[in-house]
Amino acid sequence: MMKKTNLAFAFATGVMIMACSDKKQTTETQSTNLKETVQAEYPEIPREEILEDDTLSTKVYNELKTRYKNQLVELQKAVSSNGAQLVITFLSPEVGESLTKSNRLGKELVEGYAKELQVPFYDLTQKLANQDPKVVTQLPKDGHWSKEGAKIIAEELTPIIKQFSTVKSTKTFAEKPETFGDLFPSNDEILDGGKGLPYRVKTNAQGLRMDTDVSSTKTKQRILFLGDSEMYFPFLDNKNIGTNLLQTAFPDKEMLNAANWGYSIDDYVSLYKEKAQFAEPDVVILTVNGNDFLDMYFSHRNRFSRNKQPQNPSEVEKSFYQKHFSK
Amino acid sequence: MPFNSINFIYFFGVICPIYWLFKANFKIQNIILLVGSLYFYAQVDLKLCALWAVISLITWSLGNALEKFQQRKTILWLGLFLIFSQLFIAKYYNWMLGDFSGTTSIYKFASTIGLSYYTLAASSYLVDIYRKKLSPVTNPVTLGAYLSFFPQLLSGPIPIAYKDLPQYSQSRSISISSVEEATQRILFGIFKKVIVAGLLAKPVDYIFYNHSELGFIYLWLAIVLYSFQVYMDFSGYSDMAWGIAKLFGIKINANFNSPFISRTIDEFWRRWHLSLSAWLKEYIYLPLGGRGSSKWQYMVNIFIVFFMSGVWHGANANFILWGSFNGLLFILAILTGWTREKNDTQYGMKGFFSMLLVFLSIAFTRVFFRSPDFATAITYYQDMFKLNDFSIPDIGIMGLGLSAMIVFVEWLQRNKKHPADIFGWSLSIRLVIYASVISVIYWMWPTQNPIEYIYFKF
Repeated sequence: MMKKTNLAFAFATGVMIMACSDKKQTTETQSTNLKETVQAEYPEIPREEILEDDTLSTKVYNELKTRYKNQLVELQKAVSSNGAQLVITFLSPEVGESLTKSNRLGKELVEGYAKELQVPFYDLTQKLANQDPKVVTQLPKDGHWSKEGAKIIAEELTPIIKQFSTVKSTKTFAEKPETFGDLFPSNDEILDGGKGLPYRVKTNAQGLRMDTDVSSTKTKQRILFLGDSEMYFPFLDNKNIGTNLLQTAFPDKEMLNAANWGYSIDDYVSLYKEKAQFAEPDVVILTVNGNDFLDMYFSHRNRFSRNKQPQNPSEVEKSFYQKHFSK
Repeated sequence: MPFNSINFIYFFGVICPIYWLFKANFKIQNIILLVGSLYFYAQVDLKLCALWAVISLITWSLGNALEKFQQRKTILWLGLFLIFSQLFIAKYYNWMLGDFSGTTSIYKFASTIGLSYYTLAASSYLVDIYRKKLSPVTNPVTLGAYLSFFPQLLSGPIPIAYKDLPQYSQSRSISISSVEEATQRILFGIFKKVIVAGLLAKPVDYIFYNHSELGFIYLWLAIVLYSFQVYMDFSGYSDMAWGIAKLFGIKINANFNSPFISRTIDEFWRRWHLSLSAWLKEYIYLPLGGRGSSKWQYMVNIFIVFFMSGVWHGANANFILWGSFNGLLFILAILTGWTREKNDTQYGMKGFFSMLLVFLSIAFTRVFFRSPDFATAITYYQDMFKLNDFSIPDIGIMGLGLSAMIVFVEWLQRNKKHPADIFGWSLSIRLVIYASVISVIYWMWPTQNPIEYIYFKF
């Protein structure tokens, strides 16, 4: 009798363990790769520490600048080789006095690179700077754009789109990948990122954050948006995001939103080369902010980058990491 | 430490076998329960454990004092004052001062989880001794094990002392059939909480948060989905609690009896949150005079009970409005004669429409329950009647379907002890059903384990 009872206990406990095990965790364990190993070894991500006034920090920042610039050059080359137009826009919820040092420095740098590469550069924060942050963002819950913020961004982008309305890319692709963006295709789900700001994300069949699929035959000018969460517009339904507002304003064009959380310049390059260029965009609007330079630090890349290969630290990065995070 | 967490499984895996090693000595089992439960509670906040210990010691001391001294009424009121003052300070004090952020709160707790439940249990202990329905326990460990019993500590069911406490002063047993019965409840509970309530949570959150932008059909859908969500969440928890308690040989009260198959409002409240209803009936409604000598007194008493239920749910005007709204609905049912006797088991087509009407009436009051403040609730109600956008909702369908399926199962099983009771079937069929349910749970388990429970906050 006691044996049977124990068996039943074992059964009940087994059932509960099986039910409560996190399936996602299991999958993740199975797909452990080199990138995760490096990530586990270097879990910390420095931000403003990189801008401290010491030699080591300066060396790190200089490395990140070089890395960023190389990637930007790479993107410019890839876009122009398709006969398309690259446009750089600066966008950040840090406006006016709230602009951090990294963002201010980064803005000056990217503006300089754009000039050097002869890529049009636009600052989209002019109008936003005069607004109450609590109106244009989801503050105090989150710093991403609110509906009002997205509306202003769309208004700021409108003249830029008009300016390049005659640009047509020259390259066409006979063979194309199934998706042009990295989002899960044909998805419709409610997310809130644990912030109590539930929103509905819809993606099209090509993994882009838009309501309609990109047609197989190109009949309209295509504007591709590359960016991080500022252009992905989390916490807003599709109908309220900047690119959808632009789509409504420009029915004669197709607005392709390939932005994604945590992406940086190296992701835009690989995403463009591997997928997005096959959508044959005529204009590529790259949205950056000054903090993107800090994103180039190896541990940030290992955590957020879409690239599967691990990024090992350079000697300078390694010394910096050890200085700041070693116990 | 929610039941559907891996930490709880480890906790259970350690405490349960140790507990049954001492099957022959219930006093040692009580010590194990007490230590285990306090460890369980300490995972929330150690300070809450300290408050629990203070309240329990007061309760135990005054319980014995009630037996020994003549000033019984004074001792009882002193005990109730001391117990409820802790609840008041922790939950209502800052709200009464008009500070909704909690910054003026005397106690700086991470949460007040469990407090509302064990204070009712403690007060019931004193009242029952005062009424001579129960003798005080001499061993504080016995009372401690009862007041802290972890399956019901965080979210009930609220025990009634004279009915439930005697179990802690006698030896307990376990059998194959009781383990199977416990497993039935746990599986049913997991399915309701993790799968169904989990599916319902997102569309409900989305619609309530974005209600000003959505068509009125969405808003009506949300109150339906939310009613199901509260039920699946809370009854799922209660079923798991019941099953886990059963695995320790302790029988705790049922909290629900298929409320959504109710055909009248009074029937609904005889099936919903039974342990709170029983407590309110025993310690508020009956002392007020119950049905009394007139319909007028009956209705006033009913309203007071619902008002108190709202107050118990939290320091928020919306809960009081929700309670009052339901009290008025009940009174309306009394006035119109739309009530039902307990033993009326007839279900015809008319019964189906009555079920629907009861469900919608109760769901309608839930806007107060769900909204963060009064203004939002009123806007929501207004938007429900703005008939300008006839968009057909395309979210929450799966959750709605599964909820309807569960209500249907409950209706089919209405004459059974519990909807999960399948003892009438042969062992082989039962095993197939268990395997199927486990497979479905495993298959549908969400990537983010829903470890928040709606009723933990009350």
